Amino acid sequence: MKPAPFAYHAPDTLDEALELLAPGDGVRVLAGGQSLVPMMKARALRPTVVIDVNRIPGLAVVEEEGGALRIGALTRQQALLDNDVAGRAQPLLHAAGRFAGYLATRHRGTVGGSLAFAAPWAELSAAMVALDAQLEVRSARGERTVPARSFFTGPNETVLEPDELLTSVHVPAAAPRTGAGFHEVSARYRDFAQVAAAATVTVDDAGVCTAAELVLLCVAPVPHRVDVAHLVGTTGDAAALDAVAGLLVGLEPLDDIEVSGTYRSRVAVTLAKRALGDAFDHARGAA
Amino acid sequence: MSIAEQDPNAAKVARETAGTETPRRWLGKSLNRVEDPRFLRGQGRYLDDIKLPGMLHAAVLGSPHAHAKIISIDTSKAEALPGVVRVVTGKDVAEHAAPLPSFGAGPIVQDMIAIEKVRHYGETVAAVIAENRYIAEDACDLIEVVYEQLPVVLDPVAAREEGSALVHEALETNTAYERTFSFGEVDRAFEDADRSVTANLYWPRSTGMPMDTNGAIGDYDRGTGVVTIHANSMNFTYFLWLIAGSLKIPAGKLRLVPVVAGGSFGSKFFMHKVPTFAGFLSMLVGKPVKYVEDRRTHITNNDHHGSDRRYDASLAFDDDGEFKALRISCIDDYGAYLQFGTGTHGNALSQIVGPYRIQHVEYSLAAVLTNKNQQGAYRGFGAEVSNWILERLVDLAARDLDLDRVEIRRRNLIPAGSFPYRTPTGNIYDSGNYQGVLAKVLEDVDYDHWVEYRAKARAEGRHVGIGVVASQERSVFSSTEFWFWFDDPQFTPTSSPESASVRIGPTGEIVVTLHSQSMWGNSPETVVSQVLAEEFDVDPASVVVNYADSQNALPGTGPGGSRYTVMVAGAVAGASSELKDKIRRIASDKLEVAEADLEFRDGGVGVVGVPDRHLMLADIAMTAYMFRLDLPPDMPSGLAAHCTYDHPLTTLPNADRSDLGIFYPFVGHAWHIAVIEVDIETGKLEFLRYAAVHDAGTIVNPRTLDGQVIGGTVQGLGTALYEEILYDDLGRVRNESFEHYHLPSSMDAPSITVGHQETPSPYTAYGIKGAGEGGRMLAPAIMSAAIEDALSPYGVTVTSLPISAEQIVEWATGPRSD
Repeated sequence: MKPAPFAYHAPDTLDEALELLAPGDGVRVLAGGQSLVPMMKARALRPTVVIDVNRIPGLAVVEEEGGALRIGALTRQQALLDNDVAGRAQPLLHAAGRFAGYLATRHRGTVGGSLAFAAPWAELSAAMVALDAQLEVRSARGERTVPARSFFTGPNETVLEPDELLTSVHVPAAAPRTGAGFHEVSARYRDFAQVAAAATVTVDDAGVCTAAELVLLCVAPVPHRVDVAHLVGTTGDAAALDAVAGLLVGLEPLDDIEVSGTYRSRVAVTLAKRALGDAFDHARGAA
Repeated sequence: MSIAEQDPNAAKVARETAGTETPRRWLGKSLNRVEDPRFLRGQGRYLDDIKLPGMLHAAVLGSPHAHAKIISIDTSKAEALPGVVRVVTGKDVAEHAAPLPSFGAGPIVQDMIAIEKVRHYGETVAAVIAENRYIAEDACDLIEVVYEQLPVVLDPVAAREEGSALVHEALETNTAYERTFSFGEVDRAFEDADRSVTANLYWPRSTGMPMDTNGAIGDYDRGTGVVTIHANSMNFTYFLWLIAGSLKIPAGKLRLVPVVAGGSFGSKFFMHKVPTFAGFLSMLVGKPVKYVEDRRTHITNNDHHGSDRRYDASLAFDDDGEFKALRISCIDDYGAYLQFGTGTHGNALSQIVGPYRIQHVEYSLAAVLTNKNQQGAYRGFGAEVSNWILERLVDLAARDLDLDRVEIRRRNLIPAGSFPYRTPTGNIYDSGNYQGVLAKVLEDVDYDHWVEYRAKARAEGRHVGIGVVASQERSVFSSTEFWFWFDDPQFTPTSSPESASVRIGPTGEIVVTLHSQSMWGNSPETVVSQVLAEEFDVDPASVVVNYADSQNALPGTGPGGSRYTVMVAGAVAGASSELKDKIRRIASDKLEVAEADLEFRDGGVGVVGVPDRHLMLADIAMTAYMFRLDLPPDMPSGLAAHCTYDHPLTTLPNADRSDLGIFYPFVGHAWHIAVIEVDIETGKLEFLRYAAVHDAGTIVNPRTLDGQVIGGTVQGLGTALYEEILYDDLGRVRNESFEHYHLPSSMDAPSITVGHQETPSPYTAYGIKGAGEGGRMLAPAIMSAAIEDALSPYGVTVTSLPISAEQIVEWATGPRSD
C-alpha cells in the first residue's frame, strides 16, 4: 500500500504555504497525517501536491486571554490535552479531546487537521461547535473568520476553499460555573465514534441551569447541535434530561458497516443524557 | 493403553527426562525471554528489513470480482511505465509453473496467479516487478483487465443445491467433501436418554492477523540454477518439495532461508504461496524480487481465513445431568480452494467430547466451496470451534435442567484415575486431573463471592453475568488427521518430526541449530535454552540458537498445533543425551572415576558429593576437538549430536474409520471464569474479573506460558466480540483494512489472572504438553456464557458470533422473560 505519485513541498513560512496552496485543485495540506496518509496509502485520496505545514513557525501556539483561547491549528491533539490552562478555561476541550484517537495518534494528529478533515466522528469538531469557536482561515487572497457552527457542510466537507488554510481556532471564554460532559460509543477503545455526545452546562449559584449546549456526532452529516433551551431553569433532574429524547425524534442517522441507524438513534439518547448529566455535575462542582 | 506403542526413541527421551526425584534447576522458571533484547530494540531483522543487492519489488493486482472469467489482460500501459521491469500474468504461470499444493481431494486447482478465472475477491490476476514498490503499485493501476462476471457463490447452503454456479467446474459440485462418522451407538443413546438439547450455531470467518504479513524474497542464481527464497516463517523441511514442484525445479535446487516473523497465529503455518510466488518472479527476471503482502491482500487473499461454520448440534443427557451422546452436523464454508483438505475437522475430532465422559458421537461434515478466500490455519485449527459448540450445548443442558453450570460440568468430568483415556473417536487424552483444575479456578476467583455479587447487582437492576467454561487443549498433531477422512486416500503420511543439532564447541559454548523456522512470536529460543540449561546446568543466556536453511536441514514440521515446545524439547533432550554420554566417558577418563559417579553441575561435570572434583565443559570440549590421543580409542573427535524426534505416539486409523487412531494425544485442560457487567443501553461490557487456570503438563517457563494463554484469550475475545470478515452480496470484502476489521487491543482486554496446574504427560520429554492455543479455545465460549447470563432476564441464547453491542441492545430492549 503505497500512495500514488505526488509532489511534496515543505514550506518554511505561512506566505510560502499559501502561495503553494493557491492553485487549489489536487492540493492537500499535511499536518499530523493521521487521516491523510493512510487514505493516500490506500489510494482513496490521490492528491497531486502535498504541502507539509509542519515547518511553519507559530502555528502550534496555544494562548489564553481572559479565559478565551487561541489554539494554533498545528497544535497536537495531545498538546491540547496536556495544556492545563486550556483545560481549565474550557473543560469540554479535554473531555472531548480524550476521545480523539489514542495516545500515539494524538501526538501527531493536530487540532486544525481534525477540524479541516471533518470526519463525521471527529470529537474536536463536536467540541468546537458546542463552544461556538471561530475558525481563522487564510489564503493568498486574504483571511476570514468562519464560525465552527457553519464550517462543516457534510462528511469530510467544509466551507474551506481549496486554496485556504485553517490557521487557528478561537474559543470564547466560558461563563463561571460551566461544566462539560462527553460520552462516546465506538467499536473498541478509542476507535472512531459510532455515536457521541458533547455537552456543556452553565449553572447559577443555586445550581440552576442558565445555559446548555448539546452536540451529537454521527446522527447527521455534520456535528448536530440540539437546542436544549428547555434545560434552562432546571437543575438537570431526570425529567429534564429525559425530555432530551423527544428532541432527537426525527433524526435519521445512517446505517453503515459498523452499526445501524436505529442503534445510533437509541444510543444517541443515552449518551446525550449522560453527557448533559455529567456537565451538570461538573458545573456544580466547578463553582 | 500401553506405553509400548510409543515411538521407541521418544520413549527413551521420556524415560530419561521424567525424573522428578531431583528438583529441576532451570525448567519451570520464569526466566526472561532470550529473544526479547533483539526484538524489543528493533534489531530483529524481519523480512522487510532484508535488502539484497539489485533487489526488485513486486506488487499484485487483486480481482475486484468474486467470480469472473478473465477475458483479456492489457499490460502495455503498465509495461511502459518507467521503472517497471516486468508484468506477470496467469499466462506466465501457465507456461512456467505448476499449481500450488493441495491436500484436498478432487480437481480443485489453485495457481499463484489466476489463469482462466478468478474465484474470489482479491485473488491475484497480475503482478508487477519494478524498481520499487511504489512504481509496482502505480503500474498495477495501469493494467487493464476485461472480466466476464459469473454468478457468485456465497451461501454454502445454496451452493450445495442442484443448479448452483460452480466454483470449480471440473469438480461438478461445490460440495468438496461430505461424510458422516459414527463412533459408538449414537441413535440408541439419543433414544435412551431422558432429554436432549439442540442448537443451530454459527461461527464467523475471521483470520490470524500478524503485524508482519507474509513476505518472501526470491533470489534465483542463473549460474547454479539454485532458487534461494528468504521467507518469514516456513515449516519448510516438511513441504519444501511441494514448493519445488510448483516451481518445476528439482527440490535440491531450492534453498529456503528462514527469517523471523512478527506473528503468525497459524497464518504462516502452511505458507507456500508467497514464497513460491517470490521464487517464481525471481526466476522470470533473474534478479532478487521481494514480495510482501499488504494488509488488504492479507485480509482478502491470504489463503488463511479461519473456520466459517454452520452447525446443527445436539447433546443427549439424563435427568441427573449425565451426558450420553453428541450429534454434530456441520457445513463448513471453505472458500474457493481446499489446501488443507478438511484437516481442521480432524482437529475437532481429537477432542470432540471435551473433558466429558460422552461415549457416543456422530459427526457429519459437508465441506463446501464458495467464492471466498480459502481457509487455512488459525489458532485452534478448528478445535476452538468445536469447543464453543460443546460448551454452548452444555450451557443449554444446564438451563434445561435448571442445574448450576459448574455442577453439570463437574458431574461429567473424566475422573482423575482413568488416564490415558480413550475418547470415542480413537484419540487418547494422555493424562489429567480435571477436578483439580476446576477446584483451583473456583478458588482463584473466589467464585462464591461473585455469585453473591451478581445477586446483589441484579437486585439493583444491574446486568452482571458470570461465564464458566472448560476446554481440552490437544497438542502435537500427527499427520493422519489430514487423510483419515478418506477410505482410499492418495497420500498417507505418518511423520511429523522435529530435529535439533547441538554442538558444544572447543571453548565449551553451546550452539544449537533448529530445523524449522519457529520464530513467529513464540519463544523457541527460550525453550531450547532452558532445556539445555537443565541438561548441562549452564546459563541459558549463554546458549546460541541458529536456524538451518533447507539445504542443511534435518526433518522438521514447524510450530503449529501447539507442538513446537513439546517436539523441540524432545529433540534437544535426545541430542543432549547423546552428548552427555560422550562427555561422561571423557570426564570419567580424565577424573578417573566411574561414569555413574558423575553429574552435570555448574557448567560442567563433577564427581557426586565431591565439590572440587569438577571439569568445565570447555575442558572436556577442548580435549574432544584438539586432543584425539587423549580420547578413548574408539571415540571420534568433536562434540556434536543431531536428533530427529518423531511424534511420540501415533497410531493408524482402522479401515472403516470407526476408530481414527491416536493422532493428537497430549491433551491439556483448562477452565476460565469471567464476570462481566453489561450496559444494556449501549451494549458495551466491562470485565469485573477474568481468571484462567491451565494444565499444560510440565511447564518450561511460566511467564511465556502466561503470554500464550493471555494472547490466545484476547484473540478469542476478538472472535467473540469484534472480528468477522464481511462479504457483501457480490462477494467483495467490506472490511479490508483495520478501519473496520476490529482487533481487540490491549486496552480492550481484561486483566487476566493465569493459574497453572502441572500434570505431566507420560509420553513426552519432561512431561510437557503444548499450550499455544488454549486461550482461544475458551474465550468465545466464556463470552457467550457470560453475556447470556448477564441478559438472563431477557431469555437470551447466544447462537452466533461475534456478539455485537448492537445485538445486546436489541436483546435488552426485547420483552423480559422473568
